[in-house]
Amino acid sequence: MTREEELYLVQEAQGGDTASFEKLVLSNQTRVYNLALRMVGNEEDASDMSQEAFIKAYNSIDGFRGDSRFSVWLYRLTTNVCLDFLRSKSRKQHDSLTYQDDEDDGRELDIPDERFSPDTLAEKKELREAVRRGLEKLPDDYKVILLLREIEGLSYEEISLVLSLETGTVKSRIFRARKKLCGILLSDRNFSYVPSSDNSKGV
Amino acid sequence: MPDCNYYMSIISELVDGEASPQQAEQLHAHMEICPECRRVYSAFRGISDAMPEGLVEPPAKLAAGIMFIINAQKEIGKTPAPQKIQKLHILRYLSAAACLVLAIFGAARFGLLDNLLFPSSGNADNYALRAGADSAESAENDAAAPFQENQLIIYDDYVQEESALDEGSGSVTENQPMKFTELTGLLNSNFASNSLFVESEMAQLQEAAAISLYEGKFVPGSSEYAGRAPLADALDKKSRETLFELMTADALMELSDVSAENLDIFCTIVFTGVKVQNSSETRDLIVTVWIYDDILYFRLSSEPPIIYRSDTFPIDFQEFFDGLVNAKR
Repeated sequence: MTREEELYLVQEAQGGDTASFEKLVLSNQTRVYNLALRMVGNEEDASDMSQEAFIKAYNSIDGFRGDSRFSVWLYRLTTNVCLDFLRSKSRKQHDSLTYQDDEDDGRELDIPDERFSPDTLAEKKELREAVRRGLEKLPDDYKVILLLREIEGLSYEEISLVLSLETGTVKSRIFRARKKLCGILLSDRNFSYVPSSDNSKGV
Repeated sequence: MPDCNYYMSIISELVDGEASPQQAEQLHAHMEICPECRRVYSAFRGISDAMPEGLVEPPAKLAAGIMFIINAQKEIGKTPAPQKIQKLHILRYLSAAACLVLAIFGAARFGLLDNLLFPSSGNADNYALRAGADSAESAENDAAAPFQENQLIIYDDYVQEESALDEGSGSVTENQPMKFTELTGLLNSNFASNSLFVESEMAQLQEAAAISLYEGKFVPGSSEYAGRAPLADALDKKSRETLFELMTADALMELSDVSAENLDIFCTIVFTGVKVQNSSETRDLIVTVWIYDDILYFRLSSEPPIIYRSDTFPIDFQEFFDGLVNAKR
């Protein structure tokens, strides 16, 4: 869908034409659903989150001015809906949990080892699995920014629109998110293959 | 000479293709002589390459569900305008016989109400065509006819006891046409507990020759569903009473084609051998039951498809259904 087509549909939807909005839903639902799925981790909640995001989009569609692509606006709604959901879930579990970890934890980056540069197919597969596990363990803000960058392929500028951050903050947060992810992987006991290039690492 | 902290901060940008050409050049040059930065770069590249790939298809019903709710919102109004609910004195004008017009279910009922509400909207033709088709109804139609010309007049008689809406903002003024959904709600509130059916309909239905419940979708007489047995039939009097109590109507909605096809039907209730007023004919009535987003919806076999949002809790209906199924076993 071109940006013109999109704008046209949005205008129609703003006028109350739900059929036009339906076309926007069909065109964007895969992106929204995938972001939600990676954020909340299960299909049922992801469906609920997607639904909530689209309904919010419809109800506030008068506020969409067309400065960015509709998908960016949708990502923003989806992200907020998912973050709220995760926050309230964790609040129920831990009363005083502060989910946000935007501070540098002060440690030097553990220098990653050769496991991050897999050679064989098996090693690649293991790294993939470890990354998948590690993503789930990331604090929400780090997780969402990596998802937007890596899975949804958004540029730094688009991410700054989605998350309402300065571009500088986007850059530094992505860096810290990756650093944190590496740290998680290094302490992942299941991420344990012996790299073909180094004999001294092991279980 | 910038130190590794500086270079570290651009490593991410390089991985993401967001570094400027100068920065990229600088960083590559630095990494030739700095193993730590090289390892960080290679690790960041590694995890980026190992990110989950491939987009998952969303569930087939996601879009349908979204549009269902959006259309529902549209029908029943997004922000309920608090108004005193007033008893609709249409009944005072209609003779007892004419009241039965309201008891005709299906398209004719819908058409009639449209006509009363929007006399100039051109629905009169539809109404006349439908009404003319059934001579048994023509007497009642004449009684109702004078009101086709006038606006609907609402009298400020009394406020419904259990108004779900807030009090305190302006009463409905005279000669202001009501929204169709509000009207039906009022009409229903004249009778027992927001029932889906008006009193006389209910009497007919309770006397139906048979009431059967089928799991999911069921179309009587179609070859596709030919072999299906009902999960429960021959409802006894108590069950019938309970069923009617559960079938309440809170608001009306219309369906788009997409929504109708893709949503799960919880069960289908078939009323066979329902007597038609003042006639020796009998009809079948099919009620489809949906549960969506923890709300219960009923649809009567009529064209166009109209469904009623219910204020019965889905769980109550489910328990009733399960009870019937278990009793049969």
